[in-house]
Amino acid sequence: MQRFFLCLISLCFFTGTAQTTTKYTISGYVTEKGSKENLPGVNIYLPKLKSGTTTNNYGFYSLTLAADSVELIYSFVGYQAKQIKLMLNKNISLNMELSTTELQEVVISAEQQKRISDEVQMSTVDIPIEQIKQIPALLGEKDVLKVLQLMPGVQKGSEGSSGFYVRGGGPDQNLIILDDATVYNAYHLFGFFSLFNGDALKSVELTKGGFPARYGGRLSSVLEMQMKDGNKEQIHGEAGIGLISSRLTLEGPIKKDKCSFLVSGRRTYIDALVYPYLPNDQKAGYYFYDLNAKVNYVINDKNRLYLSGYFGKDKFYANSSYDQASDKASLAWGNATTTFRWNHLFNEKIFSNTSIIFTNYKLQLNYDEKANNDWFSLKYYSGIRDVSAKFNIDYMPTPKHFIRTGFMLTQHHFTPSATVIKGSGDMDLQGKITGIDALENGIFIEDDWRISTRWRANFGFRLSHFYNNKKNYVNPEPRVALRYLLKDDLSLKASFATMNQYLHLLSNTGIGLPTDLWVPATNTIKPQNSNQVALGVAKDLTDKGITISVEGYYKKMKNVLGYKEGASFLIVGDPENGTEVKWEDNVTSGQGWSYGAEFLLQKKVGKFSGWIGYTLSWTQLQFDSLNFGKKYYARYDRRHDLSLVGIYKISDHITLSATWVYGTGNAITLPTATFDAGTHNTGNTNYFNSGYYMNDYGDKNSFRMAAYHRMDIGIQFHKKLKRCERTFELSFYNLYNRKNPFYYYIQESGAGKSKLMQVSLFPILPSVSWNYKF
Amino acid sequence: MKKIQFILIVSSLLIFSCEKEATIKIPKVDPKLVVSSFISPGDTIIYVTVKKSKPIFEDSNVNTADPITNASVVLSDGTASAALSFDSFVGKYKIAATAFPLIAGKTYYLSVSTPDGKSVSAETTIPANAPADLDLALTPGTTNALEGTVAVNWTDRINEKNYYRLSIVSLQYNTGSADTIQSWSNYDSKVFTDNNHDGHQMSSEETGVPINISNGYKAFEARLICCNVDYYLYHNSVFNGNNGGNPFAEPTLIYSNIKGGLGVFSAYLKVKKRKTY
Repeated sequence: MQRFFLCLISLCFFTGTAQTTTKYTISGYVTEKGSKENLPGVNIYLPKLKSGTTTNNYGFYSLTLAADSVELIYSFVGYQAKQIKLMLNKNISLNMELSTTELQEVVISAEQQKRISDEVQMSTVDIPIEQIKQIPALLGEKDVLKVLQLMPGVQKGSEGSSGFYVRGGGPDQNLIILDDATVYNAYHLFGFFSLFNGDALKSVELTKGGFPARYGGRLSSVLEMQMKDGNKEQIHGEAGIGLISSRLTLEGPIKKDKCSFLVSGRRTYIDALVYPYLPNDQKAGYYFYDLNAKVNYVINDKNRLYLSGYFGKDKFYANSSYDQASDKASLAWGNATTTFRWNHLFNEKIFSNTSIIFTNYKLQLNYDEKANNDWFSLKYYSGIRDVSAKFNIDYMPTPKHFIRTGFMLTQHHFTPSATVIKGSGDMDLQGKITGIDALENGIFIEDDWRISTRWRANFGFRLSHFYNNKKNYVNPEPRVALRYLLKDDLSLKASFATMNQYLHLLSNTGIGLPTDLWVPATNTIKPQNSNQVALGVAKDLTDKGITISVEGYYKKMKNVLGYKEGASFLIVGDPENGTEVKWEDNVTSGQGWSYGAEFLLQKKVGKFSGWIGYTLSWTQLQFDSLNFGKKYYARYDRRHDLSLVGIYKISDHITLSATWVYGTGNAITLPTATFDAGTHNTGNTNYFNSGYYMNDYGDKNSFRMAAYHRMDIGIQFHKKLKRCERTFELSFYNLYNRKNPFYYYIQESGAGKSKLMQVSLFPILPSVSWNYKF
Repeated sequence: MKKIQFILIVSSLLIFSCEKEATIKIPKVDPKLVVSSFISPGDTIIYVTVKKSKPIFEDSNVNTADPITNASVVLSDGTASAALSFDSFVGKYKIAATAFPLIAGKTYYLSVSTPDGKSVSAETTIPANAPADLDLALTPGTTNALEGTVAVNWTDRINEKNYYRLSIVSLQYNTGSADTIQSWSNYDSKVFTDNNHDGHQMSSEETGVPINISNGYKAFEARLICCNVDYYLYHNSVFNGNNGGNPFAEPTLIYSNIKGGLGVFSAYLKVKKRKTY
């Protein structure tokens, strides 16, 4: 394998240097006109060579070409394309500004724009932020993760939950990165809302398979989000008032064209509204807030600095007092991330980024009780804290090669659970676990190589390393993606990727509860591993602005984590008596298979936009110690999953939107009978112990919940006022009031038969919101 | 603590939740025969219980605790067979070991049928050998002289998969001849295997064993159950499933080797060692 990559790398350099004609480089940044916001993913096309490149995550591009007259076309979805002709007889620095098209139809010709049939990368989903803001949402809270759940291959867990399942992988197998920082718990209010505030985001991209070598650390998906840098020309803002929260975003220059900032915050206010109506001796409430902030500074043409952060918190509290006694309880959890980045150009072909990243997730539970002179206090906390350093180089020697290489070092500090109990009387207890420190490292190289007009490939290799408690894991991860162009707008794609995951999430419900706990791979609990192959066809209907892709995938997972029968992780250990349950005793390793087909027809811009996504899939698991070693369907095995999303811009003043989703019900385990499971009494051989009344479940996950379907609609009224633009939105969640199952329980009725009851969460829910943009 | 769990649960369901009877189709389930039997060559009587399961979603008058009294229960070793008769005093079917001797290492077959047309069958193999070197030692407690630590050791038999269950029992003697046994053990509810210990020394320790001689404690005993896989899987699943009704706990599938029914037909060898002090 190593020899293969050495050959590959030398071949890249060979093809890059073998020709003798004089070459010059055009390089620069592509930004948005009016804000100077860097634009990642802009297509730069060379009609003469029928080749081109795209801007990197920071909007930088570089093209090294033979001295000649050169024509360049810059294009990006939602922006007016720009055409430039110039004589290339020296190295040229060319920064380009693109203006938004106000979502008009694209006007450039087919081959000049970014086409999915041209891309070598498959299995990705990217949704324009503007579209995310137009899709109706639960209680009007626009949610990036819930919009992603409408894409093929991405499924939601349970009703209203932001947790997502990609190609049969659990929510623990998704790497969620915000400005290079890993976000460990991406949910507010027990998973009903995600942390990510669309106002602060520039781009959202989800990779489901065919992972490039620059990504690693999770088995099933990488969700990469970039925060906006902040308008470099003038102060702008956006404010929103909704049913449950309000938002405010401000961005603008600190020093024109040099330095800018962005601050975006959101807070719920139900607690403040309810507080005055609660009795004085019984106060309870809940809130969440999040805050995104970013500053960037352009030192000179070669150096730029970025400092960005996310801070968010959820808190429940309940306080009561009566007579001589009082008690206070609270549960709070939150994330904090900080990323410092330095972009440096070594020369016009070599771009580098160095990041220092800090991320912290913490859950804390407090309970204090006082009665007369007795008191009792309990504190429980758990969390994970990372400090990382990342160095990446983008090297663009010729239009044929885009080489990325780099490394990442991460120090994880886990606090799986720590309990402190104190009280009057004899009950001091410190169930404190010393933190666990672990190292996770990765080094990678990849080349996006335009081999010929028909063939394009991305060969990559990643070496991952993990160290915990004197145990080292080193795993090679080969990555290959191939594209073969059948016609100008039709291509075949194939990919293979090996992934390793060194962190495990212990979760009882899979819906994103804050008590979900990240733990490291250990001597006994091995890292999870997956191998995925995908095959697909991509087609562009450029004159209609439509892209179509069909993909099939097969993913084999090893050492995936399962929970032993009878295990519970609501809280690891029992804080009441201080006993610690070793989490390793509650989990078991097994294997999984996921395979299926996905269809996506997507239209990103135009008067009528949206998509149709359909997934046919199977996900099976096998654990030696579960279901007596037999294979079974995973809870989120979903045979059919269909999403229809439509956004129709009737006029400049009115936008209509609607979504409809359908999904096969979750596979669950339901008891069908009870019986007396007598056990052997070792004390007196001739007697059996009875009284163990057990359920007869049949096979694990052999029942299906009722199918899930729901329609949401929204209407937005836009009005341009003197100094701002106002949008009023009215939306209905679950329009036809479908009672979708959230969970089932058994209602016992004495000696007669019991009933299976279905609990549904959200009936039809109207919501209104106002947004101001200035 | 309860309050926090309450906040967790109630708030996560919000105020919106509503419930109705589920509409998914549940296949019709008939009561199944539940058979339990743990056989060993050392026993004087072989017992089998026969009960019925009670379907949850059907009307049924089954009482799961009631034994079925009119079943035909036949034990066989492949060639010879014997019918067991119902003993209403113990609520079990039984046969004296002298009438149907059990031999270590041999496979036995059990079939049970009832007049209402239900019939189930099972087979199980008695382990061939048990460890020969069971030993135990008592260390009196340093802070509390009335309690001690009992250490139990034995050698696992190499190149075979072995399953165990261990009880440590304090023997409280009455004035008179008979032993009054006060069962005392943590390990009574645990089963374990020789995973990663094949052929090695196995050991187990129990602290806080009462050794108060003035209260009549004079001896202690280790009982090592060398069971077969059916015995192990069944008990392991029952003990795992007995989680006190925690609603967040994973459901536990109860092992069964009864074809067409529930329960277990399993076998074991028992090794005991007693020490007086």
